[in-house]
Amino acid sequence: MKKLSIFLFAAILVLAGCGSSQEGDDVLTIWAWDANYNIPILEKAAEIYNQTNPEVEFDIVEKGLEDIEQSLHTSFASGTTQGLPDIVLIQDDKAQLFLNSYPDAFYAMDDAINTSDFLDYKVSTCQYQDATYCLPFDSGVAGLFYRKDIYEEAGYTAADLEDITWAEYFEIADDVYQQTGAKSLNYYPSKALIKIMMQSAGSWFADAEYTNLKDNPVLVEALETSNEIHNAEWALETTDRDQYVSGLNSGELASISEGVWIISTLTQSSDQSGKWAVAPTPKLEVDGATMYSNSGGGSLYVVNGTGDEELAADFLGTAFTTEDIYDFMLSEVGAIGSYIPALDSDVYQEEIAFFDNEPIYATMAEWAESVPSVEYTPEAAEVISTLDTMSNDYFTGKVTVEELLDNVQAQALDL
Amino acid sequence: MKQVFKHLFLILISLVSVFPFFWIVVGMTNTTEDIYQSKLTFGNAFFENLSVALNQNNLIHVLFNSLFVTLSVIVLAICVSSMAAYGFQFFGNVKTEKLYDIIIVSLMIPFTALMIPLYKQIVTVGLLDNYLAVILQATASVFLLFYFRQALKNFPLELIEAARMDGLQEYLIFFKIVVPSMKSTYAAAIIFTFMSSWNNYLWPLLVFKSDTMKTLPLAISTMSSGYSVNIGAVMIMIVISTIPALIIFFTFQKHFVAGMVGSAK
Repeated sequence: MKKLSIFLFAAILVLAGCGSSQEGDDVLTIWAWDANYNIPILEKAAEIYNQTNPEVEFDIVEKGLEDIEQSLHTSFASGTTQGLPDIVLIQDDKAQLFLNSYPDAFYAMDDAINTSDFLDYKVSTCQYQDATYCLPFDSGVAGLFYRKDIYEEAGYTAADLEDITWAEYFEIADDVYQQTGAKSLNYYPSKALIKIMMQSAGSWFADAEYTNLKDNPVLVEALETSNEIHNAEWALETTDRDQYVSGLNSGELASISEGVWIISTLTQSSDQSGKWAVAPTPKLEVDGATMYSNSGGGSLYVVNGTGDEELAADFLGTAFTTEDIYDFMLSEVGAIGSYIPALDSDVYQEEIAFFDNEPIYATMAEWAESVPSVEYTPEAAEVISTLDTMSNDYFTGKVTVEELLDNVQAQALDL
Repeated sequence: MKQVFKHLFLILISLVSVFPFFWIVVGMTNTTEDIYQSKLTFGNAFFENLSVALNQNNLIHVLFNSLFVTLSVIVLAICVSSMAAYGFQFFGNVKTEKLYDIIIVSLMIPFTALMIPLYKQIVTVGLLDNYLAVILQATASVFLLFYFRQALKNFPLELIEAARMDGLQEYLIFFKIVVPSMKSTYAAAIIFTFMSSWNNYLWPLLVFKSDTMKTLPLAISTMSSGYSVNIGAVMIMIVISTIPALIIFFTFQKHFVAGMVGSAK
């Protein structure tokens, strides 16, 4: 027992000696999530940068999305940058929370990039006090993805889905359901669809223009529109993301309004190749409504205080302003970038077999340039999470939309 | 007749509780698409999934990290806590009792409240991204101290006094007399420590920064975060993280119940 303990203790000390890398040393550490999406893009970017700067080494670490946020919060709250990466990928809708809570935590990118080269709405997600703190990464430009074969069977063509309102779309969806039995759209508590609606009209939860949530016509309209989906028999009821993915793969669900990244999920069902198409997002019936929106997407941030800030900013500013990286993003992982000069390259014009040989990426990249900017404020995040818990009362008819928004206001904002 | 119903009921309940395990095992052999379509029969994607787990997610290395950290914690935490409990119980005075009370009160502070100061400490001593950061944090376990002390309260003092009378040194009394007669207590402590260390998620997440330090819960969390997740590979990781827990539990099971009732007979 005693010998065993001594042996183990010695073993621990030896292994504990295997320390971590030191800072300010030409090694750029990057944290990101998703081994099939973000990681290969970053590896390619490293490869591109190494062509001109062979001395720089990269340590690209895959971590879960929530794990990254938790680690950042703990480190920043402890006031230490030790152990933090040089570059980190953050979701756009969480960015303002970090920038507001830890104003000195990130390195301003204004000198490293020309912000006007990037999609407006992406740049605005990481602007704080007149500085830009990120390299805008992937665009989550949204569209209405639908099963062309099923819609055609019910007598609808692409032209019928072009430039329509949600109300008009609901009639079509209902008709498709009556004729074919296939459901359209889904709802589940994450509010992804409400977010898409809000951004398409250039407004966001807790819009600074309105003191009271219920005065924001876009929010009211988006909630009322979602309510119709919740209570429609043609919509698929799901409780989480897995269920709607399952609905898509099995063919039960014939349309979905999502960001461009859903394509990698759709294409998992190879037997559905050639049967899908994408239409612009339907419009809300409010002032400023457009057919263009966004869902998800992240941006790359340089962490301040690691000693490698300038190198990290130079890497991002160099590798992510080449056409190569954006061609790779699109052709290898199906991600649309935010760098405008690269959005009309040849790769974007390619016809995609899964979408019946339509050049859908060229179409969606065009939409991306028209997505309205909105402010993902920390207050908005608070409103969204409160809505998550309270909106069911509205969707089940217990309260009206005004009452719901009053309740949310009281809990999330008026403290 | 009553017996038949009783058994039918029990069979039904066991089917319900075994189903999730069955689902995971079937899932290991299916593609993500099949899993989403709730396929309940074995498929042939097992080796594909395994290779994703092995190559893309470093299964072997991750497993080593988890085992190394957990075994170290078990040995150290149980040694330290049981010896401390022995000290408090048989060498106590008024002052050590006060100290013991203070230590016990710290059980009431949730880990989330300790997290940031603890993290600062680890950074200051330079143990970030180091196995010791997790091992040392779990070594001093207040719960184990309390648990061993409770068990020792029923330990016959006569046995120890007899040994002292015969001139046995104190540390030998502990190792040769106290430890062997409290096997069931130790078994229960091992199971408890194993479970909490094996499943420990938050603290390793904060102090293990690099890819090479990931433990199983961290690796599973990483794999499940993405636009398209390879569910089959995740299932393999889950099965592998369950097996050691089962082995430990079944090995020590017969002691476990006795240990929870716990005393030297």
